[in-house]
Amino acid sequence: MKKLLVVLASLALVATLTACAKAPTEEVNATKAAIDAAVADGAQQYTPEDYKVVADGLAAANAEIKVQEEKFFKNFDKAKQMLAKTKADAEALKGKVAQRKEELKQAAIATLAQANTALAEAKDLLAKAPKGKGSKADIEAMQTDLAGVEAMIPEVQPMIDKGDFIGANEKANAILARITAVSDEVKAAIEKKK
Amino acid sequence: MKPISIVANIGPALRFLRAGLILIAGIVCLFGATGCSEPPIPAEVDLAVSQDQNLWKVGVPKYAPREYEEYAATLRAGQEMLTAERSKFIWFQDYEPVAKFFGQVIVQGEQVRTAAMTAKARETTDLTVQIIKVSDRLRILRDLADDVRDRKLSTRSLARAETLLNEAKGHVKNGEWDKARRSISEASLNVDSAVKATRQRVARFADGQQIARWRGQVTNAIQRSRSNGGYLIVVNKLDRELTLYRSGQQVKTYKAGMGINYLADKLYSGDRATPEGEYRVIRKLPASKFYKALLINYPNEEDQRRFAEAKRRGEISKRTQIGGLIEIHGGGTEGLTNGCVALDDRHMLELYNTVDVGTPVVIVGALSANNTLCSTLDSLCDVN
Repeated sequence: MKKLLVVLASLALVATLTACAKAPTEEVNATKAAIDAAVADGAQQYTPEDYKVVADGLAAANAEIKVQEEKFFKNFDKAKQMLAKTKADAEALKGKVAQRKEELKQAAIATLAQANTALAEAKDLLAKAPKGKGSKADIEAMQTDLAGVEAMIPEVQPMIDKGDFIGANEKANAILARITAVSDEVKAAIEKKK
Repeated sequence: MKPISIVANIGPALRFLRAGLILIAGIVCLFGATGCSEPPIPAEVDLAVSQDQNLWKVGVPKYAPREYEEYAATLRAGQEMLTAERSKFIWFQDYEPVAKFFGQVIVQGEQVRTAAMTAKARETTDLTVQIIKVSDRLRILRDLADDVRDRKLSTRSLARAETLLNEAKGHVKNGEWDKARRSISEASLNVDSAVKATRQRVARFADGQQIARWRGQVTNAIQRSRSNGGYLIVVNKLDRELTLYRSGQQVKTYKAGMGINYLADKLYSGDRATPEGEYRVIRKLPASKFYKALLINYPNEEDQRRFAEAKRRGEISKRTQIGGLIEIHGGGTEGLTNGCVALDDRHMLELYNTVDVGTPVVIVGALSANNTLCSTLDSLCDVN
C-alpha cells in the first residue's frame, strides 16, 4: 500500500512537470496568417529575400515545436519566442512589400511622365527643325519613329493599374530610351543644318 | 491512547517521506549526471541554412528551379533528421550522422549554385544572341533605308521593335526570361512586318520582267542615241546615278538625288515619287530655285494612262491631280526632292551646258535584279 503511494506520488510529480507545457498552436496559426498576408501582397515577388527569412523562421519554429513535443519535459518558450519574432518580421514584411510596390509604382509613373515630357520635347524639336528639301524626309522618318513609340505609351498605364510595376517600369524606360534616341537624332540633324 | 497512536504512525510516515526524497534525489542526480544542456548542434546545420539563404538571394530557385527543389527537399530531410535527433533523450542523441548529412547538403547546394549560374549565363547569352539577331535585322533595314535614301522604309513597326528590344534588355538584366522572350518575339514580329512591307514596296526591283523592260528602254534609247549621234540622259533610280550618253557612248556618270518616295513610280501630284519612263527635256531653266534646271515632259502619255486607270480603279481620289514640273536640277545630291532628280551644282552646270531642249531622258528603277536592295531583303528573310 505504501509502495503504491510512493509510485503515485512520483507519477503525480512527473505529470505536473511534463503536462504544464502546451504546443503554441495559436501562435503558429497567427504567424502563418501573417506570412500568408505578406505573400498575398506579393512578398515573394517584391521582397523575395525577406520572404525567405520569415518562411525559414516559421519552419525553424515548427521544428523546435516538434522537438519539444517529443521531449519528456516540454518547454515551448523558445518556439514561442521564435514565432513571436517571425510574426513580427512577417508583419513588418507586409509594410515592406507595400513600400517596395509603392516605390516601383512611383518609379513607373515618374518614368512614364518623363517619357511623355520627352515625347513633347521631341515633337517640339521636330516642329522647329528646318524643313528644307534635304531634311524633309529625315524629319518625316523621325516623326514616324516617334509615332511608333508614342503608340506604345498607352500600354504602360494598364500595367501600372494591374500592379505589374516592374513590367511597367521596364516598358516606360524602354520608351523613354527610344524617344531620347530620336531626340538626339533630331538635335544632330538640326546641328548639321546650322 | 491518542499520543501512543501518533507515535506509532510516525515510523511509516517517515519511511514514506524518505522514499519520496530518495526518488527526487535520484531524478536530480540522473539529470545532474547527464547534464541539462543538449550537445551542440553541428556547425554544418547553420552553414547549410545560411547557404540556402544565399542561394535564394542570388536567385538560384529562379535559374535552376528543378535542381533547387531537389536541394530543398534534401535540406528538409536533413532538418527532419535534426529534429528527430534533438527530440531524443539527451543520452541517446548522436549528431554525427546529422553533421554528415548536412555536409552532403552543403555539397549539393554548391552543385545547385553552379548549375544555376551556368543556366543563368546560358540563358543570358541565348537571349542576348536573340536580341542581337533581331537588332541586326533591324539595323540592316535602317541602313537599307539610309542607303537607298528612302526613309519611308523606316516604319512605325521598326520604332516599336527598337523599343521592345530595349525592354527585352531590361528584362534580361532582371533575370525575367519569359518577359524577355516575349519582348524579343514581339520585336521580331515587328521586324518581319517591316521586312514584308519593304519587300512589297520594292518588289518591282526584283522582278525580272520589270528589270528587262527597264533594260530594254535604256538599250533602245542608247541605240537611238548611237543612230542619231545625239545626247541621252539615263537616270538609274536605285543606283542614284545620272549617266550622260552621246552617240550611244557613255560620256559621264553623276551622283543624283531623288524624291523622298523615289522607290515608287510617280503616279500623282504630291506623292513625292520620281517618275519612271521615257521623257525629253522640254525647257531649260537658267535660274531655277535649285540653281539651274532641265524641265522634262512629265506626265507623258503613259503616265496619263496610268493615272487615269488608277483613278478609275479608285486607287486615288477623283480630286487628285497628276502633277508636273519634274526637273533635273541642282541643289546637291544629299537632300531628297519632291520627285525631281538633283545633281551637285557643278555637275548641273556641266549638264545644263551640254544638253539641249529635246534631249531624251530615260528614268528607270534599276538595271539589275541583283541589286543591293533585293539581296539585302533576301538576306533578311534568310535570317528569319
